[in-house]
Amino acid sequence: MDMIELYTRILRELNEAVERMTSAEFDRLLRGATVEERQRAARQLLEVERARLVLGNAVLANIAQELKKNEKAFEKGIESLDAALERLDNVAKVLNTVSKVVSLVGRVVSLL
Amino acid sequence: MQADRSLASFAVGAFAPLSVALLTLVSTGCAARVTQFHDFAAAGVSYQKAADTALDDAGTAAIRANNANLVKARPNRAALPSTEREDDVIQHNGLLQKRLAILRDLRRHGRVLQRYFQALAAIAESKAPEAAAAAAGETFTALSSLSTTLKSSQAGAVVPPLTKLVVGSFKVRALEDELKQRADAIAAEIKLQEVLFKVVGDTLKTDLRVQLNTMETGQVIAPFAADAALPASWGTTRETFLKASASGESADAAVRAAAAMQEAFTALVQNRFDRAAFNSLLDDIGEVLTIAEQLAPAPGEE
Repeated sequence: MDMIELYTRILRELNEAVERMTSAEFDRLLRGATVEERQRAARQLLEVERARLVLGNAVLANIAQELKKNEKAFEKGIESLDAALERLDNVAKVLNTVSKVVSLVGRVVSLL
Repeated sequence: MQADRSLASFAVGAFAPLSVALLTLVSTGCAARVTQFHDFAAAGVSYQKAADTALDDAGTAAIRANNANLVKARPNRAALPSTEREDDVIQHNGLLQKRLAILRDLRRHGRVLQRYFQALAAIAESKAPEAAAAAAGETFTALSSLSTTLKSSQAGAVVPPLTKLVVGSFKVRALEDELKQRADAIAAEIKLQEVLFKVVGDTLKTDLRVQLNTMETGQVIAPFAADAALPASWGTTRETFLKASASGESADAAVRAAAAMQEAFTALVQNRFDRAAFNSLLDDIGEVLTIAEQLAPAPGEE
């Protein structure tokens, strides 16, 4: 989790940087800049974007790995809940069958 | 023997109203607990659907923002050898493909969680207690036709509610046991979901902002500042940009929804998850879907 927190903080900085580099204000600044400065800015924009993707992937992959650890528990939970539901339905089914048998016995008794 | 039967019949008859009242009291408590489980499970299913949409949007937004950045940088990369520009695209393609694979994995995990919530809801929504009570009532009527003692007793009034309560208690017990057994996994899961959507929300917001920035500079400011006549769609494009940027903040909704799920889970464990909390939770989850609405028109598609 510490790694995730650290990466998240850096990712936030990179997000802010890319937002600034694509803003109307920055665009205006670049229009007044030299060719070299514009080329450097373009390279940096792509580098920041690349770093955002690399770091974002690392954070998300780490969280996905942590989440996967819970999956066995949930699969077990689903099995156990399905079994409980089946038991519940069986109680109703058994009572229903008993009711039908008793009703049949009642009809037979009345004929004797 | 006949006297004993009469006494038994009287006892059952006298007991019936009191027991029905007690059963009503106990079954109301059971029903309230089942409602809490039902609401939590329903919120869980809704949350997972909204989370799935947010993750899908996150992939789309990442591609669109990356497109915008590559296109923005391209004119100033023109002096470079074409192989370097090729590398730009290839590298970013690889990273985006990895991002989409991770998001797919997260969505697959979400489906496991959704199946879990659905299994919880299936028990909470089960009509087995009612069906069992009806069957027990029918059994009693059938038995009554065979026995004069039963025929004259009022036990028939007690049998179906008692059956409903017994089967209902089994239902609550099954849900309580499940909650106890899986409490740690559920708590860890929801906490991680909160962290996940903090990252996804932040990134989504930036991706959306990059698209809007590109839209503003390329389709709103540049045409207006140029000497040429304004395109006919300029006003509509500007309106889309202004409205979208005004509501961009709702990307935090997924984080709030995950935090609300955390609160709901604590309330459920402490037996105090009520309808008001449920409605508020659904509001938070519903907000996540507004992100999807904002991302629907890509810049330049209007």
